[in-house]
Amino acid sequence: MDWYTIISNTLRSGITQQAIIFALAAIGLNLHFGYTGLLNFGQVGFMAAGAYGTGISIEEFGMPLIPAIGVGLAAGVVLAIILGYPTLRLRADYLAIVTIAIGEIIRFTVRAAALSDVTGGSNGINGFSNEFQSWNPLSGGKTYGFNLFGRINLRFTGADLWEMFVGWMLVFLCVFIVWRLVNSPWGRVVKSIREDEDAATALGKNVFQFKMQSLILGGTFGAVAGIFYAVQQNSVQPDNYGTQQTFFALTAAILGGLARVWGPVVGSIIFWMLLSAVENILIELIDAGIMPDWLMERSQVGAVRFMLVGLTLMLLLVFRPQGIFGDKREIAIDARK
Amino acid sequence: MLLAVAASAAATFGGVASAEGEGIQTTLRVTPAEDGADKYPVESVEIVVYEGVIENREVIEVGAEVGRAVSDADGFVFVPVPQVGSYVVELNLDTLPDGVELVRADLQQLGVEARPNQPTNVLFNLAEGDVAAAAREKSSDGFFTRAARLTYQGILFGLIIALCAVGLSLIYATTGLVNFAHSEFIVLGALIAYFFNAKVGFNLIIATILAFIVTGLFGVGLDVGLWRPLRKRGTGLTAMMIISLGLAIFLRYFFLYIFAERSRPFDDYAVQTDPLFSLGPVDVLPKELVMIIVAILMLVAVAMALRLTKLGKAMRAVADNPDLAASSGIDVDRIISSVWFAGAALTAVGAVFFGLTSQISWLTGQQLLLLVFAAVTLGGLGTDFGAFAGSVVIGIFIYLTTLFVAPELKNVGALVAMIVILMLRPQGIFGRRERIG
Repeated sequence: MDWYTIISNTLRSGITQQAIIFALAAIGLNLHFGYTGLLNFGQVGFMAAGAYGTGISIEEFGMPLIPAIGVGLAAGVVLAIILGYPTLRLRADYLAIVTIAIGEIIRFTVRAAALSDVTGGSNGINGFSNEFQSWNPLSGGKTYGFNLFGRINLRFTGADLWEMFVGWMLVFLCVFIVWRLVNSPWGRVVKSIREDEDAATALGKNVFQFKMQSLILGGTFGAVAGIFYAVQQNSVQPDNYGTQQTFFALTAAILGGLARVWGPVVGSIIFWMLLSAVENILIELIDAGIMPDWLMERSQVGAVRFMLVGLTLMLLLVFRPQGIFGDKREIAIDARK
Repeated sequence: MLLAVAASAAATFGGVASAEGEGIQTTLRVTPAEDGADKYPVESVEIVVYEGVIENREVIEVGAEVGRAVSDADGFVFVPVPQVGSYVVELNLDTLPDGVELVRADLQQLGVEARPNQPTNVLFNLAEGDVAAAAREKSSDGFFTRAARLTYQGILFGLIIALCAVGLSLIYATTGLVNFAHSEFIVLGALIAYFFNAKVGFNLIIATILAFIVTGLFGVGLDVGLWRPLRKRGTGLTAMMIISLGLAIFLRYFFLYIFAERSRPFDDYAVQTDPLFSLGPVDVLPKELVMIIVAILMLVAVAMALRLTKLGKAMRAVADNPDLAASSGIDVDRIISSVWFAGAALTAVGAVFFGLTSQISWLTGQQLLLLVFAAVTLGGLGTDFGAFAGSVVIGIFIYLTTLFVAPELKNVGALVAMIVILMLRPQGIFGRRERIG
């Protein structure tokens, strides 16, 4: 068993791009579900809107990266408005079904061969964001970093470090925005909507409008996640925007603690470290011949770690719905509405 | 692989029209122009096999080439394939002799499920020019012909969806839970039937009955082991919905873990090409007729049971008001467990039927679940008749949309329809007003 590899891979996955993407998506979900009580199961739709909005603007219309990112964000806002009008008056379970459906509608549509001139069909759009790495002050191919205790590899390429730097800056910015928002009068209104919609209405608040604003803002964070994902990968692939992405982000948000500003970020870091630890330990067990063949082969490790995601989500909701840092009184999971 | 090549060589030289091992085979024979003359074989016509995604014998996506071969003097071609799975078989039109045509130009590519350890047959309908034109005239797919065929496919698909949807709707009605893990009953049912059919060797009918029972018991097990304790704890419905989502993810990847990423056909009835009879342009396969009859009988039985039997009335009482039902002496927990049994078991039958028309993989449940949701939302969540009617409407709708849009987008139409219905009439077509909440 190579514990150093396990530890270094685990540490790395807590700080690399994947943790950033899901932190951003989970920040949006936290605003939706944690603060406003809107059960959005289609966050991946916002990610796809942002990613494709940016990718298509560059590839089809030859825009520079910055305005293209603006288009991606606008796509997220437009999606929120389209999604919000029919659904925000619905009860939580209907909202969940509709949002999950919209996520899938977007994925089916962008991967359709009929639209492949614009979206690239099932191949997606590739190689559109070289501009991003051209701003990198570090040398992309060079390796920076150090080995912790001489054995734990914490070395990254310049390209990775640049992406991680920009990504974490985005996370801090989004967390800051959420922190200011939820401690403002606006934040108190959306929390009151989560607690009791009728009471908020009775106090003269336009519940629909506040819900819509929350949906737009949280959806924009989702779009930021998708844009970062696309720009950093230098590609958008339709099948990277399946429903499971929303559920992973949701698990991360609940794990960290809903209705806590830092909850989704911490949740995402722990989520990916946990997955990576399990994966690496299993692989080491298999390679060392400790794991019997009939029980698990290398190709099954991926499935097992996602079984763990499902199990985590169930156990959290049953035993600790407030996650690690949350407050049980602030979780909108008991109401029938 | 070697064996398959050897077998194909033997077939070529020996002129034996069969081969061993997994592969695609066909015998290319041409219908001549003169009346009454026998079909004759064509030599050196090329067949190309690709990896592919198929659905309901329709080609959805064509992948990398697997192999190609040329027909021998008997018109026989065999292309070995590496493993069981779905493939796209293409006839190279350029290699056809002059004057010979493919009768249906749109059937140049055929989707096929390769069966294990034996060659899988495909059929290309070839004819000499005049006959081909005449045959094309006869089966020329005018708009209404295609619409009729698609409506038939849609009804069949709708009935399959209905078998899955009634369970979801009943569970919702009695417990208030929108069960996202319902999708996994579909995969489980198909898996169990596959296990008893292909692994144990039972006939598929017996395997389906076993799948019905085992999946039903699994539903009861989930209720007793998970949902009942949660209800007793007073867990909220939103929390339960997210728990069902976690359960769905867990089960889905568990199926991937044991099932791997391939789809496998049943041993019986998987390939049927000769119609039992034709209703105008619509060819009815024997298995399809059986599926339609069984599905309708089961759905009618559920509707009758809910209205006429004591258990059914108790179910409706629990759905209406669990506290009142409990205080009138109904054992609510037992009733809810019965609903879980019926819901899961019916879904298993739907799953087997789906496996007979298309292919089941570990992701099938997730893909069908959204259509099931669309069906129950359309019909009205919580009503048995609504689930049935909604399913058939969604089924027909999905297939008829392919008249106008690419088949790969057909599910999009159904999902958009669901959203539109929710905007106009949130309680669904047959739902009661109070259910919007």
